[in-house]
This record gives sequence, C-alpha cells and structure tokens, in this order.
Amino acid sequence: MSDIVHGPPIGLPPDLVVGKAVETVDRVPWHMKKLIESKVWDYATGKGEVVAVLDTGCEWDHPDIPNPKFNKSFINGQSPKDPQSGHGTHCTGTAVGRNNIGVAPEAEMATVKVLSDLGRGNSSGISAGIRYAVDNGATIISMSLGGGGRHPPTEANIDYAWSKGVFVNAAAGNAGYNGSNTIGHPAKYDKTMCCGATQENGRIANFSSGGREIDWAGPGQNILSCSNSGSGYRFMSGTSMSTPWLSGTLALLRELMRRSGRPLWKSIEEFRKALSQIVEDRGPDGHDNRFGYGVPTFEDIIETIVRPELWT
Amino acid sequence: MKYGSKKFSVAASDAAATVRDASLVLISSMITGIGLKFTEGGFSSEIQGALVIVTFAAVKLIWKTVTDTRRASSL
Repeated sequence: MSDIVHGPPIGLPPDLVVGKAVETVDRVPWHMKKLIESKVWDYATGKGEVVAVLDTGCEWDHPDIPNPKFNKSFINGQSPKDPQSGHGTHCTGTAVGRNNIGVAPEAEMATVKVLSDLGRGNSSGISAGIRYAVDNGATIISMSLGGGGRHPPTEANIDYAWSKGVFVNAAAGNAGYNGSNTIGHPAKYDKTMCCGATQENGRIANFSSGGREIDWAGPGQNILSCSNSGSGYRFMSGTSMSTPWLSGTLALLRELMRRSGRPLWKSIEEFRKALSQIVEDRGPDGHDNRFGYGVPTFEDIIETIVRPELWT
Repeated sequence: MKYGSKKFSVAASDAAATVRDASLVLISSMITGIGLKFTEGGFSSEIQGALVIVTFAAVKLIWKTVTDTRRASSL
C-alpha cells in the first residue's frame, strides 16, 4: 500500500495539495499519517468487511471510491448514487476510500441513502436502512447523522444488528460540551458505538458533543476526503467525519481478529472492555465524556491483536 | 448494559406500536363522532369552541405520529 496515487486535487491549500504520485507520508492528509506510519496495512486493509454508510448517498464514480456491494434509497424519488450532496461521498471516502484517502482501502462498501440530498431524514427511514444493511451482509454500519428523540424501532434494529454480529457506529453530534449531555440519537443508544471528534493537535474538537455515552474519538476536523464533484477532494469537519474514520478502524480490527483466528466480540460490552487495550487514553484518566475510552492507535492494535507467528 | 440507559426489545417496540395504532384508531373514531354531532348542532357555542381546539390538537398529534417528525440530519 506504499504507492500513493491521487487524482488531480481541486481547490486545496498548497500545503495539503496531494500530487499525482505522492510518495512520502508527509504529504498525505493528517488523519491518515499515523495510520500509514504504523504500517497497519501490512496486516489488514479491511478485506472481507462490508462498511454500510447510511447517509445522503454516494458518488461512486469517484476514482477513489469502490462500487457498492449493495445500495438502496429510503428517500422517495432520490437515488442512492448521489451527485447532489457531498456528505455521504466524503464519509464513504474516509471509511473505505482507495489511494490513502480511506482507513480500510480494501473493504467493500454499501450505500444506504437515509438522508435527502439536503441532509435531512427521519427515524423510520434510518431504522429501515439499518435493517436493510444487516440483512444484506454489512459487517459495520456507519451513521454520520443524528437528531430527534428515542425511536424504539430504530433501537430494536440496532439490537438486531448486534445479534447478527454487525457493529453500529454513530456520530455523537456537533453541539459541543459544557457539562450537560449533548449527545443525540442514534449515537445515544445502548448498542451504538458513540464517536467524538479530535483535532490535528490531538485535542478534542470544540464542536464534538459530550456525555457518558461517548465510546471513542477519532480525527474529525479539517478532514480531506472525496468530493462529489467528479474526482476531486474537499475538507469537511464534524463528528460526521470522525465516525467513518472509526468505522474504517473497525473494519481493520475485525479483519485482524478474523485472520488471527480469534473470535469476534460477541457483545458490545465485550468490545468496550477490549477497547482499553487498543486506544490511547486522552483527557482525564479512564473513560471521560469527551474522548470516551480514548483514541485508537494502530500500533496498539497491531501489538494487541497481531501474533508474529501468523505472518511468518 | 451501557451506563444504565433504558433498553428496548423487539417485543417491547412491537407492543408500543400496537398501543400507538390502537390510540390512533380511538382518537380518529372520537373525532368522527364529535364531528357528526357538531355538524348536527348538538353542542353549545362554548363547547363547540373547546371542541375545535381539542380536535385541532388531536389532528396535530395524529399527523405528527403518522409522518414521524423525529427528524435526523447529517452531522
């Protein structure tokens, strides 16, 4: 995975312009640097995993985005192949984009449109989208969305996902944190992994929502990923951006567990216990309301999961 | 169990949906019955005024439930 090839950049600041054949990790987006330096892709690239991105759709004609394994729209009259809103395309790129844009570049992806081209949706569509993704072979569900109150059918379908071994990862929200819980649904549900967002300096992003449900955090500010305008790239910020980064990380984790012959975590409680071994604790000691258990580090993931004998 | 938050099972959500549907049928029937008596002039003007307000609230409740106003958006 050392060959880093990008299409022509569109409108990027000079220090982050990604050339036709970038060869050093110094010039890849900040949220990918540590991952590439860790050489985790020598061990896992997401192969065999299917990340379903429940969002506004995806422009899968982008050269860095694979064709979807399956796709469906739950928005009347709007196609899952989305040239209108770049949100879903950006998120998909961060999770599974090729050429050093995505965390799990050999994972398959699925597009489930549960938000309109304007980025709006409702709980019924999201609930149906989760069920559809699980029943069609997703192994990870990534939801960079939130809002509204508790919706029991959605929670039931998230429970259903876990009963089938499918991980559900969702954005905490962009409401910031001043001591009161600001996490929205679906991230707030018991069996959802709740994602906060960090900045390049390692601190939590100001906009990142907080509360006891936060499980982990990942890069979410000034994230460079695929644009829906053909072959270009764009920066976006939000817990929407950290969520697919963490979903890609989940794909790597799941592949590593499979390949090392270890049983996958059977419950989210089991997975949360394992988290402390693969994240770097940030903020106050132990679990806290901004970083959760911490930020995953690929060195820890390799050290914890990969057995040297497996690769000899 | 995550931090003591409330859990729902599939059965519980099905039961909730059944109660909701039954409530909607009941409210709809009440509105229809009241509407018939209303048009036949069976209420005093004060009660008619109150019924208009109650009916408006009930219709709004049904509309909100049917159209699922639990909105979500991209983050």
